[in-house]
Parts: sequence; structure tokens; C-alpha cells
Amino acid sequence: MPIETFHYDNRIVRQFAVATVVWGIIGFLVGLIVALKLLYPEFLGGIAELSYGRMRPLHTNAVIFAFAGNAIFLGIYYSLPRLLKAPMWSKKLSAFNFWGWQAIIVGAVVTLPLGITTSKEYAELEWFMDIAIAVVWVAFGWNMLATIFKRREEHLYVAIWFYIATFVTVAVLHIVNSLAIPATFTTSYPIFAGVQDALVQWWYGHNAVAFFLTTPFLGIMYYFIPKAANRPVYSYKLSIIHFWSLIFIYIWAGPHHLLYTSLPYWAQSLGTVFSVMLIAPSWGGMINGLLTLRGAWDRVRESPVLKFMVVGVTAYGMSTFEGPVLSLKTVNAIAHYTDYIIAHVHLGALAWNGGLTFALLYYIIPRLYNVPLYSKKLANYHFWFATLGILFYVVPMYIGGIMQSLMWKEFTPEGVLRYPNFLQTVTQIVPMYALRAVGGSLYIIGALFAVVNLWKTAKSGTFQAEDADSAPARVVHTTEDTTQPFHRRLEGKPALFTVLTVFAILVGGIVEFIPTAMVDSNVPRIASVKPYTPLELAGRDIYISEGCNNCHSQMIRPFRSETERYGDYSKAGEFVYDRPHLWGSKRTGPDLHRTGGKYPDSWHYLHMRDPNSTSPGSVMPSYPWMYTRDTDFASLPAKLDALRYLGTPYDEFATGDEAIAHAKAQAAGIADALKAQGFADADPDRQIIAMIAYLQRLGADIRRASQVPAK
Amino acid sequence: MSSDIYDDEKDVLLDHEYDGIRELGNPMPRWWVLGFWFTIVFGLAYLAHYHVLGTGPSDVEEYLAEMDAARAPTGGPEQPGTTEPAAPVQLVFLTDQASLDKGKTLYGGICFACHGANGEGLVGPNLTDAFAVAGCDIESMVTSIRKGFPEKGMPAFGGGGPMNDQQLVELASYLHSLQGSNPANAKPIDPARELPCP
Repeated sequence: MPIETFHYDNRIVRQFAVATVVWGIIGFLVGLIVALKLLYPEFLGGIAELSYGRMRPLHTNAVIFAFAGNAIFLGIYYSLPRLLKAPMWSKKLSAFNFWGWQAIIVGAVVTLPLGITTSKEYAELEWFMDIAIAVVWVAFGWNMLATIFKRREEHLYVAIWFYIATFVTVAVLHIVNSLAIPATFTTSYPIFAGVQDALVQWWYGHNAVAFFLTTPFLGIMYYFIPKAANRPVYSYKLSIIHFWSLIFIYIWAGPHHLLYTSLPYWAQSLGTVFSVMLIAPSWGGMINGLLTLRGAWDRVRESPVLKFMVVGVTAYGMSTFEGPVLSLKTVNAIAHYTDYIIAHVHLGALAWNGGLTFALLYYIIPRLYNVPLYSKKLANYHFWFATLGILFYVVPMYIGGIMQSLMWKEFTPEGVLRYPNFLQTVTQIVPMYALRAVGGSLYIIGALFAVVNLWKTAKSGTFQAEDADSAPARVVHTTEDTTQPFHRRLEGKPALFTVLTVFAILVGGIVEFIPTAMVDSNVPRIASVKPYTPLELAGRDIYISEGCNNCHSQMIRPFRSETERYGDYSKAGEFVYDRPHLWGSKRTGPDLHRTGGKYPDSWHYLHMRDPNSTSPGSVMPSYPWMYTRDTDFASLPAKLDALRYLGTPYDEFATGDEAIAHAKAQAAGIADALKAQGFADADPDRQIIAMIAYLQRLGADIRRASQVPAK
Repeated sequence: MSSDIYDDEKDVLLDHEYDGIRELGNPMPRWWVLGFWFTIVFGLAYLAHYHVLGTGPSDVEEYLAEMDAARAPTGGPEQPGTTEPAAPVQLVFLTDQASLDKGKTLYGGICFACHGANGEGLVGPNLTDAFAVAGCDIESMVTSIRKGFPEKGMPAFGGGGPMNDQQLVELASYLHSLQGSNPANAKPIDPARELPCP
């Protein structure tokens, strides 16, 4: 059989490595900025584009899609061709993948601070960006699958199974969760409303964790641990079982983000049980990774690559045990909405994704430059700074989260809330926020050591633009070797493998979503719930733009401690006109679902301009620009048209002008009343008026119903 | 360069090789397999408990039970259903420290948002001066809190949620005790709305 010689493209690998490091540092720094903003609410204050609600999504998007995203491409573009004995199918598609992805990140850096956002967590980018993401992602998948089809290796290695699952699932998740009708260039409304939108969002959100932050990194682990330790993978059988069970079960677990919400109870329970069943498939990966190091632990002591891998894989095991525990409803009742969850995700992000990414960089960069790593000592310092940083981040946030939750729930013997003022529970945990910022800073310092080390390594060597390799051409069998086990044969059939993967990841979502969308009893209608008025809609879009949902939930759970504090628990039927839903996932501030009518307009007018004037000690920033920027009345007709197309009954407004006139009249009413109360500068055209209109509507419809005598 | 294989692994070494990576045919750890089965059984039992057998409460049933438990009088009666109806609340200013403390707690959880931490007034009027929108006697104060002034932005707070009649009196008593306390940043009197207390 003739041996063919070919070359792997190292340029694209280097490009992704540089992007990973640069965006990583930027993403970490934005995280530090938002952490500091909780300590000093007016840090970089008064600038709309740098406010907390806009910067936090920038942080999450930067670390997930820019840092981890580029790391995924880095790992795949390095390992895939080597595992297949075939260079990437198209250098042009590789370049398109790289530059397209960087352009999307730059687009995010521009649009998110401008307040152009969908509000959906980890899917904040607006519709035009969503289209770009889909195109670039498909280009990546096409390049990968085409490379697989012209491989020289007969069978696909387990790392590639995970890469395939990553590609197809992220494509499905992204496209379905982004289905929306654009109203203007900067606004769109999702085709799903309320409960359905929340279910789709967390099907996406949870599986972004699964198929963007887990499966590609498991693939990376399966390549780089055996390579770096020079040891065989512990159990091929475990690989098969944990791969298929992981991708099948993961997709069901999304509803654990919605326990005790208005999501149908049966769907919540599916979220819980599939999360518990996820422990073993997740740990299968950890076990296979750690047992591969059996008898090679002396190498771990010597190798920074393996150190980061081991801490990363161990943290993965901890996170994937903690996640199912958090999915038990009794535990979730305490931990949800608190900083505990922030600690949980950072354990995964900093140790697992961060650890594997830095391991990748320490493995690949010396090989690209054909030199040893510049300083093992500096890498060891990085390792300790990162590990200590993670502890200083995670431990205070665990403590703060539980502390605050217990304060939210505490009653006096007389039966009233011990801490009825939400702020009392915030000021108690501010010291924990300070320690968290210290932990984050340590992690960043460690990462800067890595930058220096990798830079010096590159400087000390010569870049190898290509690596040569050789292998015989693959023999295409015309008949099947039936003596091989089924899965072994499947590994030689990438098309069938991909189809089966798609099937495995579709089942859970379909079973949970179809009944929720189709069976009316899952979302009982409430007659008094009406669409938002045009002005309230404009206010809602401002709420979304400002990212209020990053700190305020709109979902009161059926607990005495919540109904005493906030009012009646939230009902599914209240959200039928909420596109998107704004239930939120974190209460840095109080829930807002029953804010309507709770305070006078004048209170909101003072509060948004300077939260400390009404709430001394508040960590909420002020929003001075809402008092100078005008409400976008002109786009209301287009927005109403989009919503009408989706089924919202806006029949009373026959023309766009009528909608605008209605909004202006409502605004004038609010502004006039404020003027009469001594707020001479109240201007009906300003954003604050629309914002107040929206806040006063929140959760109010159901109360109106209770005032109407029953028939 | 191929993986280092130890002697005891030669039996389980598979003929797979990818870029030098070898795979072993070790069985899956037994505890892992049993753990997996356990979670599957747990999952089925969980679904059966809450959704098939109906032995587990729904989220709303849990809530109703929690509310019932909270309503049950502390140190409850020996025989349920035989408690005396609560005595009607007397409309007098209370002066004992325990009642004033309860009033203060209520104030600190609700009223402070609009009337300031010490009653000095914010968007709502100053409650410590000798002027009021609707009277300074106990009946007027309780009525003001109970019914609110919805047209001026103050919601109704009476009628059981969030305050029962006893709590209304405790709150009014606390407010009465603030009279003349001259807090910092006191809001000036609005002569168009507030009348002097008799």
C-alpha cells in the first residue's frame, strides 16, 4: 500500500491560540470590572455603555464564546487532523471559521454595550448576529465533516465523537433558541412566549454548558491527556457508554433551571431526574481521564500540562456532582437565584474550561515552535495562582449564597420576615463580593504569567508553519467485516454516526417541548392578562436593553417566604405576552414580578436616578441617561406589527399612528402627575417614563382580576 | 511515539491506535455501573412518586401546606377547631416596648421605602412632624395605612396581607412614638396636602 505524505496546517492553530489568550484576558478583566461594580456601584458609573447590566453579558459571552470558543477550535484544529491522518479539508474554510468567529466577537463587544440584546442568557446577541453565528458554525462543521470523510484512519477516535456531538447539537440549539421575528434592526421578538420561551431558553442554556463547555473539552481531554502522559486510554468500553449516555441524557436536564417556576411540574421533575442520571455519564469522562494517568502520576508532578488537566478534570467531577445535587428541588429551593450558582459555574469555568485551555496552550505552543516551554517554574506559579484564585472565588460565593438565601427565608417567631428589607440581605454579603474580586484577580495574574511564558517560548523558537506526516491511504471496504462489534463498525461510518448523534440529542427536547407548547392545560389562560400597552412595551424593551434581568428575577416561587415578601406566586398564564420571558436566574436585587403598584411613580423616578436616595446602601447603579435619552416611539408600529404577527392581539390599534398616539398620551399622563408632585423635569419623551409605565404594569393584571367580583 | 504500556496491561490492550494514542479494553468500574443503575432507579421512583402514584405533593400543594402550617397558632390547641375567635383589636396607641418594636420591624420592611428610614419623608410625607394628610389619631392612622392612598401612590396595606389589624395598630403606635423626633433630612411640610394635627 503506498504511503502518502501530507502536512498539517499550524498557522490556523497559532491563530486560534492567540485569539484564545487575547479574548481570555479581556473576558477575565470584564469579569473583574463587573465584580468591582458590585462593591462600588458607581465604578465607571454614569456611562450607559459600561453599566453592570450591559457588561455582565459581555463577560459571560466573552469567556464562553471568545475564550472557551477559540480554545475549542484550537484543540480541534490541532487534534482532529492528527487523529484522522488528514489535513483540514479546506484552508479557506478554516480561515473563514477563524475570521468569522473573531468578527462575531468584535460584533458582541460593540452591540452588547450598546444595549442591543435579546436578554436570553448566553444567547444575548441579536438576530443579525445570530445569523452570522449560524453561518460560521456551519462552516466549521462542514470543514470538520469533510475532513472526516477524506480521512486516512479507518475509525473515529472517541475525541472525534465528542467533536461531532458538539457541532450538531450546538447548531440545533442555537438555531431553535434564536428563532425570532425581527421588528427593527436592533430588536426582535422570539417566536415562543413566556413558559415556552423559558423552556427553550434553558434547554439551550443548559446544553450550551453541555455541548459548548463540556463535550468539546472532553474531546480535548481524550486527545491531550494520553498524549501528554504518554499512556493508553483506560477503558474503551467506558468511552462508548459514557459518550452515548451523556449526550442522550444531558439534553433533558434543562428544566432544572426552572424548578418551582411556572413551568409545568412534570417538566420540572424530568429536569431533576435526568440531572441525577447525568452523574454517572459525566463521571465516566472523569474516570477515564484520571485512570489514564494510572502509574503516571510522577509525570503529573513534572508537567504543567498534566497539572492543569488533573485539576480541570477533578473540578469537572465536582461540578458534575454538584449540578445534580442542585437539581434536587429541596436544594434548589435554597441555592437558586443566589451567588451559590455563580460559584458553581465558576468552578466549572475557571478550573475545567480554564484549566484545560491553559493545558492546551502549554502543550501546543512549544510544539508549534519546536522548543521546550520557556519556564516550567513560571507555569507552576500560574498553576498555584489559578488554584488559589479559584478557591478565593468559589468559597466566599458559596458562603454568601447560602447566607443570603437563609436570610431571605427567615421568619421571626411572630411569623413575619426577619429581613423584610431585601437590602439588609445584600449588605451582609458585600464582604464576600470583595473576597471574590480578590480571587478573580489572582486568577488573572496567573493568566498573565501564562501570556509572558507563552510569548517567551514563541520568541525562543522558530515557528513551524506545517508539520509533515505520512500514512497509507484508507482502504474503502465494499463489504462489512461483521466479526467486528457493532460500535467498532459504527466508528468507521461517520455519516451514520452523525445521524445517530442527532437522534440522541433530539429526543429529550422534543418530549419536553411539544406538550408544553401544544397542551393548553400546561399554561392555563388567565382572562385578565392583557398585552402590554405600546408605552409599556417600549419600557420593556428598555428594561431588556439595560439588562435589568441580570440582577432582577420576575418569577415568584410558591414559598411562603417569597409570597410574604413579593406577593402572590407567579402563574404560567401571566406570561403569555412575554416575548422574551424575563424570569431571570439571579437575584442580586429583589424580584420584580409584582412591582406594579407597589411604589408610587415618584419613588421609581427618584430610585432610578439615584438608588441610594431611596435605598441607602444599594449596590444598584444609577441610570442618569434614562432621564436624558428619548423613548423610541417611532419604532412602536414595527414592534406591534411583529408581535401581532406572532399572535399578540393588538387589534385596538388600527394604525401605527394610533399606537404612537396612545403611547404619548400614557407618557404625558405619567409625566404630568410627576410634575404635580414637584418633579418639574419630568418629560414624557424620556426613557424613564416608559420604564415606569412598564414597572407599574408588572404582575398587576392578575390583581385586577381578583378585584372583579366572581360571576 | 506510542503510549507506554505496562506489563499488566498487555492483555487488555486493544489494537486501536490514533496518532500514537492506544486504548485499553478495561471493564467499566463496577461501582460506576452500579451507581448509574442506582440513579436510573432513583429517577423512575421519583417520577412514580410525584406523577404516577400521586404520593408526592405538587409544588402548589407543598405551598398550601406550608401556608397552613404557618397559620396554625404557635403551641397550637390540644384539639383543633376549638380555639376561641381572636379578641377584636382595640384601637388605642400601644406604648409597651414589645409592640413598638414590632411596629418598627413592620416599618423597616415596608414603609421606609417611601417615608425614609427614620420617618423623615422621601416621596411620601414626613411622619414625624405634627402634620398629616388624613388625621393623627389612631383611627385615622390605621385607616390611612389600611386603605392607602392609591391615587397618590400609596398602596393599601391592610386586610390581612401584608398586615393584619393587630399589626396595623402596632405600626400606628410606632409612628405615633416618632412624633417630634426631628430626624435628619426631614422633608418640609406640604401645606397644600398636609393639615396640622389637632
